[in-house]
Amino acid sequence: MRPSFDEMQATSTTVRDHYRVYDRWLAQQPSDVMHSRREEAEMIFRRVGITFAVYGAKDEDGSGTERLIPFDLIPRVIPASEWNEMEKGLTQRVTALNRFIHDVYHEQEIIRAGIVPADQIFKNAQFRPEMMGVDVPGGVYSHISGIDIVRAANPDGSGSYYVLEDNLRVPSGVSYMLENRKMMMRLFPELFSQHRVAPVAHYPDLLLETLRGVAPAAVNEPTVVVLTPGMYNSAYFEHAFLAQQMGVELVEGQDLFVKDNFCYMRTTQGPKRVDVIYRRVDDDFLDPLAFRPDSTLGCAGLLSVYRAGNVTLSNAIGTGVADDKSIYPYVPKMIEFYLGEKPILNNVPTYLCREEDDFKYVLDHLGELVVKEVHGAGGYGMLVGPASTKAEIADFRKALEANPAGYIAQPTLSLSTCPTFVESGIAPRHIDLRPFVLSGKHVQMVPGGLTRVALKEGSLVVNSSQGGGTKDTWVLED
Amino acid sequence: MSNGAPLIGLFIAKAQRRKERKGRQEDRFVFLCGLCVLCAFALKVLANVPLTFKELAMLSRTADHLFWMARYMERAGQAAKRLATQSQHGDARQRVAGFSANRS
Repeated sequence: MRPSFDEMQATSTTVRDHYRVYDRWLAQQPSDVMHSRREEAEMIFRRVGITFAVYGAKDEDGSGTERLIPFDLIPRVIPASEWNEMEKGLTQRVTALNRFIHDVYHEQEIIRAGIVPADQIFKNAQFRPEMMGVDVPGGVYSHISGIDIVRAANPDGSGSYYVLEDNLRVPSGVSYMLENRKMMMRLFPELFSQHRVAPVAHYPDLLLETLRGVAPAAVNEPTVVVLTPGMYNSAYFEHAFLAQQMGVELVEGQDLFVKDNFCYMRTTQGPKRVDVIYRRVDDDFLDPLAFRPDSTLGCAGLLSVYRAGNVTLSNAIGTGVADDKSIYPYVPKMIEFYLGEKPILNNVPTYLCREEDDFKYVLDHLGELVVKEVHGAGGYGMLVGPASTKAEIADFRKALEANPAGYIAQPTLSLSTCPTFVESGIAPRHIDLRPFVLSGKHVQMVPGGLTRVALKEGSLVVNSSQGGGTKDTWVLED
Repeated sequence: MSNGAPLIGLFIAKAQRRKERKGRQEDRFVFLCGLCVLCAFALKVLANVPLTFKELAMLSRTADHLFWMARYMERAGQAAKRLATQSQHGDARQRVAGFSANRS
């Protein structure tokens, strides 16, 4: 494994420039004050109800599934120069991905050019034939994209950013980004007078602007709604939060109906036409007439309205074809193909187990690699070779041999660490970053994103369902 | 004006009496509520947002939930009253029973 890169410490005795003021401040803080601040943060999160649900798990008192997402008091700081470069890379990547999805459902030039194999797309469970030939407003399919980025150490001790995965279906976590900032401003207001931290609070405004910008062309004053599966969904807090922040209705499938190829919501004033649906429901459950017939979470006939261009779904149906882990290795080539540019953000080298040579290599090096299920998410269905026991590796080998095409493998990157306030004091923990990219009339994002931290010592799994926490992310303005 | 003046006077006098009856604190609350409503309207007008009845529209599901919540509260209130009455009657019965027992 490569040496780790620490976001704050350049060496064991020196601090990076952008952390210097914070480090001085942190050194003056007594430990008991930090502990009491952490307790205060927990209390506020609990009182406000900022929780997430882990299916099949129990909460702290063993009664339900609602959990607090652990919040770390020490922010992750990114200097403006790094962020500017990352922002360019994200814009480039998301633009190319949107062009790819459009191409897949229209001319399929990338397949004809032999860049992406046809069976990678047509055999992909996320490919939706129903979307063939459907034109979406502005040609934008993924309006909200969550791109997971990590920093890994180079041999010379510097760090490089890598894209770990693209989330183009229903990326979640933005509410924690906003709440973390509010919490930091409440707990440590003095820090914000000492640092020029780029604001993130306008995200709901940008989101609403993006959604309104992709409304059907004939609509002047579009009605936007957030479609949630309901209060038992793991991210229900976020759905309610975003709807409330944008000032739009939070609807469930039962609130919507289709008539004369338009979508309406049932209100006390009668049916009200809906123009843009920010759906937080998976494709499979959106329309029982087109997808899963047993779904009660969607609205019957919605696909037909969508295909007629009378409603915009955000994100579009079928975006999963581009965020699949087996498509990920082709993204740099997509950027070159569609934009004629060199990729700004690096991809992690990836072995496709469906390829014979790659599969052989993966089997021989299981103990060194990270192996992931192609359709897996949330840190489930993966093997972190160096952190696994021989028995776990043997079990995984069996699963891998049974279905090679269902897996990819990557070298174990040593994610960068960031000082984190844990029970024993301040200690380095591995982190990643999920910026949220909004694509409407143009691509925009708020500076930073959600920093997730693996709270277990040495762990590389940052997912909240696997014991991960979050941090506030500061982009320092020049 | 001459016809309306006695009515206004009567209204003020009544209001004065009411004020005396209900106390100052409640009046302050009513005044603050009124002020809030006025401010809200003023803000709406300033923001040039048209005030229409449609703004009061809500999802039918929400209205349904509110109706049933109100109904359950009403039923809970009635159940509480019944319990209170029964408990009072029970006490009274006990007292009567005790009285009778003492007499015998």
